[in-house]
Amino acid sequence: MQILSLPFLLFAAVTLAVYYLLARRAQNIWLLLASYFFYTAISWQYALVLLAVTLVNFWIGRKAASRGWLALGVGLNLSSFVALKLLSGPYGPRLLPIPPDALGLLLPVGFSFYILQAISYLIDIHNRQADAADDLVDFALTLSYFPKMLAGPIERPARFLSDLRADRRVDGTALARGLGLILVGLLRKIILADRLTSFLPPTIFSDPAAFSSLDKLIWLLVFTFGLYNDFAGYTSIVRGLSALMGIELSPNFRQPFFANSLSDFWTRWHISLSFWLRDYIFFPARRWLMQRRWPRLLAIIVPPLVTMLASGFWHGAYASVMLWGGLHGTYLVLEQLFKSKAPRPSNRIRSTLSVLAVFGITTLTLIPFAASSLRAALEYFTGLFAFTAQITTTIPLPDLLAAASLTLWLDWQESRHATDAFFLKWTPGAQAWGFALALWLLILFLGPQAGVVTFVYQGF
Amino acid sequence: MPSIFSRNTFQIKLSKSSPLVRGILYFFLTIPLVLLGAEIVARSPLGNLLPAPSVNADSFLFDAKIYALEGQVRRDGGLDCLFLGSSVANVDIDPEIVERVYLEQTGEPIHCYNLGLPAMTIENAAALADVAITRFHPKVILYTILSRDIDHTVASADFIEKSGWLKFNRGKSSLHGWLVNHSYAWRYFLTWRYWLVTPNRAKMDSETTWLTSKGFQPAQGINDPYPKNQTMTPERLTQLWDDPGHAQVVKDFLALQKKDVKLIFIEGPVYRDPNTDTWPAYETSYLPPLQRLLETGGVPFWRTDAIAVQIPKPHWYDWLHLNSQGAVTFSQWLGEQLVENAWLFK
Repeated sequence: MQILSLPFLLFAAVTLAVYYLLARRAQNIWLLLASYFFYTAISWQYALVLLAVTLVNFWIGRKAASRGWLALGVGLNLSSFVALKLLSGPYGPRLLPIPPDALGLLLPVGFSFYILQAISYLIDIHNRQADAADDLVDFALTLSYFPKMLAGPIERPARFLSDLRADRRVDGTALARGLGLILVGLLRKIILADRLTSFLPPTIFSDPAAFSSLDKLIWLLVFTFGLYNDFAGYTSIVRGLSALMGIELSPNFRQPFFANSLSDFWTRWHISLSFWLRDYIFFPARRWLMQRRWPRLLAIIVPPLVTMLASGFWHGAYASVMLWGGLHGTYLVLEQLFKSKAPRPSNRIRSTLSVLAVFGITTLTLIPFAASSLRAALEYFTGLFAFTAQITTTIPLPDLLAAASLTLWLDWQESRHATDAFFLKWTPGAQAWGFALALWLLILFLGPQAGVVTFVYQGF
Repeated sequence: MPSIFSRNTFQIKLSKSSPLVRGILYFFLTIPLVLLGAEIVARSPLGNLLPAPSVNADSFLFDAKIYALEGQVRRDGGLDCLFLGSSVANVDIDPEIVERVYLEQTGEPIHCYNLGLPAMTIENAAALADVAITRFHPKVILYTILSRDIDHTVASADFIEKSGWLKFNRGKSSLHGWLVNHSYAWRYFLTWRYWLVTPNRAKMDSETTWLTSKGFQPAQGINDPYPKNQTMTPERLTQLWDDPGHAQVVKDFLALQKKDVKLIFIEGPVYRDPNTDTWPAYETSYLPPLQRLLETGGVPFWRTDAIAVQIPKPHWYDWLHLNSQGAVTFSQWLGEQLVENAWLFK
């Protein structure tokens, strides 16, 4: 069952209708049942894996105050994650002699997301930042809650459990916010991401030699905007859906194209993962190094590199995406090393140049992320700077400019109003017309590219 | 024991002034405006600036021809002659020249349209003609026939019969069929969705290249080298009528006369290459049974061999199709034929 499908719409409507009739405890049981139904509809084997992960972590969580149990719990989660990532990646066939097609199925959808939540649950208990869950239903729901099941956001179990213990209230504002976020998410996914992705030449990242420099540049921008809108659209939809249940999910994006430094970028792009990596890898690694009284340089260089390599591995156990992580780690190190000590006065030109530079660097760094291999990534990168100006593919320029403009307008609205529910800050008349216009746009764009209904990050 | 039911969560009280309710209201209020706007655009010169509203047949040439024909009938108040046939009709007959010749020689204006479509067979054409008679009421249908038109297995334009537009007009009700026949807004919406699929954009351009407002799509230059004549080989021509179904499709077309329309069959002009062995089989195996069928059905058959040999080779796009220069000659000849048969329009 895909999120952008009629069955999911019916499923969500029935789930919500029953949910509104129930008391809090019954709501949690109902949501748990609905979540497992949703996951079973994708694959019952995946649901069994999730159940096993839930039971093991619930049981270990009660003993996680002890270092040994924490090590066992984190070790089990981490080793299963690493093993499944490796086996389902391109090196899987060398490690396990089963057909490559079957290896691809080894990694359950959403595993990379809920396993990080399980790890943070155990660590937080050990660090006395959270209590072990005393209710298996609530804990199971924390890992399986269907709006965030497939591709996050990666919630902190302590906060989520506390939300599950509180009564919820869905009033007119929550309804408007929820529906508005869903509409914005649909606009991002259907009008922007799916449109942009449909234009991409199928072999642009696997056989880049066949394309000119200008082609490569344009299609890289298309990929960047497509990827961003795909994931931001997904997050907006699930945040909106969850808002309709009175449960707040964390934001994942905060106008990443407006970042003015690379460290700023990582507080704006896939925030829930970035903050997880920061809290459970970067900070502990830096603390550990600083406590050792080793050269301070090590504490500047190692933590960002390790963190971003881990981020690369989380996205996939293959060389090109590890390169993507490594490059970002290197940028963060360099930025830290050459950061000016004295605060500079704010300057609009300098600020704009910084934003453009960060956009340029992060976009170029997406090449290994998008490429099918290290060789293809290098070929793409070198070809990009061969400066051949002729265009060898059909570029739908008006579509691309419209998509980029709408993306930036949405981000500008979010930035200006400091919330992704920016529409609530509009006048009631503008909200009403915005709602009507969004419905028209969705009707105009829904459907023609049948089959493009999955989200990129479901693949991780 | 606490109840599992509660109404504490759902606290939504929507008033008429809430933006959500107003938004939904605005959406529904804009629907008639959009429908009206589309009708105005489609029926005014503005419509010519936009891609044609689609009937969802997966052929933009068909969409463009139907839209232009609708506009012409609306403008002229009727249709005198409708040309049907495969690509040969599409590229060989310029209704504008036919009309001009007729006007010059009789002083009477006639209004013609070319609804020829590449790959259309006589079976496809019968279905299309059936609907065209109902919707556009032509006085005469002139069908340009080739031997390949009778054999549906060679190539066909089955999309015509599968389209909701045609099905609805032949009595198969559906919401889509009704909308396609009654709402330009819906048809523009279909065009928009067709255009959204990237490969269709090039198709839309290529399918309607050189298309005139009268449905004529002249072929340009010479297709060099000429493709091999595969549909008119002696073997094919000799065996064409062996299948009784082939005679039946011709009879089905002739049955359209019951709908108060006159039919004329025109021999598809073909380049008379003396170096091929096609002609004996053509003259002795293909034509006589066809002529008998038409005679039995009371439908005139206009042979074109005399005019075809007068058209020089540089005026042929290939052995089967005339180019824009050849089409002028042929259309003039056709106009003169109509002048000689002016009773058709009485």
